[in-house]
Amino acid sequence: MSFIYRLILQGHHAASDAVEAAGGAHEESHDSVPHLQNLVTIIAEGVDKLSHNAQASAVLVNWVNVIYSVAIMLMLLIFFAWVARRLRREPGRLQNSVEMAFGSLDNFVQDVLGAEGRKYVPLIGTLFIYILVMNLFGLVPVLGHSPSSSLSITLSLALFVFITVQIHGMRSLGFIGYLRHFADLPEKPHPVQIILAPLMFFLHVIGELAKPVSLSLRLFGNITGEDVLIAVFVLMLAHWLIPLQLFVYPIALLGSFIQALVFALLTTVYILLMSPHKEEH
Amino acid sequence: MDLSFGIGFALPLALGLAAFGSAIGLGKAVEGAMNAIGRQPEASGRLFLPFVIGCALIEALTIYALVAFFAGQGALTATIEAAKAFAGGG
Repeated sequence: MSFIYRLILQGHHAASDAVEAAGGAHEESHDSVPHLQNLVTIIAEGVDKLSHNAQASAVLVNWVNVIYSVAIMLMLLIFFAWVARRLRREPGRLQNSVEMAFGSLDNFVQDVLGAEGRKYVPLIGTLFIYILVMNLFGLVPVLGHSPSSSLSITLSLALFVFITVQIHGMRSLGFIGYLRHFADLPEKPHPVQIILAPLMFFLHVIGELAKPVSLSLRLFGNITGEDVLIAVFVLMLAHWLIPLQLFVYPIALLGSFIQALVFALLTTVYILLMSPHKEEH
Repeated sequence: MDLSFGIGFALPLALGLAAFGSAIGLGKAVEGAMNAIGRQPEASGRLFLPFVIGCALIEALTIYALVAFFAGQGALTATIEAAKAFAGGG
């Protein structure tokens, strides 16, 4: 293995004495899917070599995704709080672009959800921007890793959306209306609809449960695929120090953007589907 | 022919089949969108949202196959190591 591969691939570094003596508490990267080093794994390697404590580096490696997502959250908070602090009547370029982004998100959510959907603009906007920045972090050369390439992060986001949608359904339809929505029973039910109600209820519940599964797996699979693609491209010509992954960056950018957009879009559509329908079925 | 051969043969084939199916589905979706834009070019703004949602839902099925592929790779390496341990120890 050339020196370059040992530098940039996870799991190929020379283990320290303490780790070998302790039986190797660091994570096994023996899977055939290559993973590139990121800032936290580099720090974990450094900690591993400097201190003779296998636990510290193992903790750091296990919590990579949480560390990155919290760091991204703090970055976004600080940035937008700083922009909001210096609002002026005649906006400069930064305030103008942020206002454009916010305006388009606002218009989009209002188009789908109507005027009372305005209370969901913060949620959907945050989901979009947060997931977009998380996805784009994986493209940053050494310092970056996308937290959304881990199923825990995407599943927690999808469960959060699921709970939000159910609570919105219960609040806007009333609890009885919520159950009737699941059983597909309108106000004056046809006798056939009453007979079919238990079956429809069961099918609807399964459909609802499939939503967080599909949301999380879609984001996870796409971003993991992107990360692996970039790692494979990096490793192809890394020995000659040619950054081949630049040629795959356009696809990765498009994919990241689309996945963030689709997550936010689908959240909006699920909220819409749980709102009172005005038309007859 | 043992278990690792079976898994190693089936995994890329499964992914290829899933990609084939989603390619056909996405092709039909894009065809529908192109037809609609051709009939009424000023409606293309309103078409964007349903089109993107439809494409994402179709693509998600291929992504499930990709996730199963990664999971199967883990099972594949575990099978190979188990076979090695079995042959070496037994």
